[in-house]
Amino acid sequence: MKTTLLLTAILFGSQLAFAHNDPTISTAKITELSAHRADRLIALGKIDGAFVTRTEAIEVTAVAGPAPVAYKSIVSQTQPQSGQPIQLELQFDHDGKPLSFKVLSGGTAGADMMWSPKNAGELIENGMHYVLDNSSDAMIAPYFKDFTKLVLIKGTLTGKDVGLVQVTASSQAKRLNIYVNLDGTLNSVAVEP
Amino acid sequence: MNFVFRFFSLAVIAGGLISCNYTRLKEPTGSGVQNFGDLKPEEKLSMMNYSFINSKILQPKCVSCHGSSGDVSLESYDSIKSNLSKIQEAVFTEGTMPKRGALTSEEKRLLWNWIRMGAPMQSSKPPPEVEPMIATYESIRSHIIEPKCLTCHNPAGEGNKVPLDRQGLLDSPLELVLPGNADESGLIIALERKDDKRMPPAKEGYSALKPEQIQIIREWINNGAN
Repeated sequence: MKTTLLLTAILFGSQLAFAHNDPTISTAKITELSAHRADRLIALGKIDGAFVTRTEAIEVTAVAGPAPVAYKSIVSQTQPQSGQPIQLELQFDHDGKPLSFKVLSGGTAGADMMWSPKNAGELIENGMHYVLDNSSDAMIAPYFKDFTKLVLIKGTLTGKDVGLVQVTASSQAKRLNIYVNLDGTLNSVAVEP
Repeated sequence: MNFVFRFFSLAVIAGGLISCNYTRLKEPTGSGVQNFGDLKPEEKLSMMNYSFINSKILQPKCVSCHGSSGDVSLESYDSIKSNLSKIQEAVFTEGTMPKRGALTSEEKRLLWNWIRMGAPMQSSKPPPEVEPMIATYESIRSHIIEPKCLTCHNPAGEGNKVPLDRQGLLDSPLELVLPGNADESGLIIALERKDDKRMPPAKEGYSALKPEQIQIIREWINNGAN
């Protein structure tokens, strides 16, 4: 009887020990989901609208701690409606389901890029769709697998204003530049020179 | 005797040949136009009416684009009647419509015959009553998802990343359906929003769901989305 109880306890203990997260989706996917989540929270009136209209950066980290939190992302924007620099922290489980959100003070208030007709969130989503849809491409794969951060800035390409999504990957020294037209269509993609 | 036998034999053969004539059905659109198949007698009686053709063919294959916000609206019987020749031309002569999801040969056969019959509002026998939409997934699927959404949200369509089967809705990281909480469910937010992210997308000519349809989806979600 004692042996049975002991074995049960060992088995139970080992289950708990291995109950940490085993992320099943990429940090690149979490970035896209972060943009969607910010849009949802704005639609529900829970956060400042600038987290979509003036998004500047999204940073994602895989969390090594115990379940259920598997990923954390920080969304930054340039000019919050409230006037004070703020950031949005999102937590996701290993399937990418949102677990919680928190608005943090901090970040930097930059210039309003006046994105139009598509807002910053949509430009980021569309840029990330390219990475997700081409994850098996040799040039794109490391940015899909090892994504850590993206920044959206206004750029010019052959005399035309474009949204430039700069993607950083932990395994790559150079960033991936995704040029998105202001109407949200993809323009071109290249690793920075 | 032999002559009489021969005469009667010839007369019988000639009579048989004369009785073997037939009447060719006249095609309504002129010679050289393909026949898309005839109707069975029972189909003529019960299926050749606007309600049947609308629910089986026009709503799922045409109205998702040709809604009230499109250039050519096909949402009402009157608008269908006034566009019959255009429909006939686009579907059967040029084959340019529907742009999303071609008609099956069965659908072509029914539509072609309905048009050929003058696009009647009523069939000679009343059609079976269409079940009203209720707050179950199956009902919502047949009344809304299939005719309005699956043209894009299918494995080969643009919306393939967002499957709309019940489990897909429940499991989506986009929280499309939060059982008991319609207000925060992504599906409801997407249906009710006024900007260019509304579903079905206005920019592609789709009309919005009617408030009473959204209300039933809300009811299904608030009841647990079973």
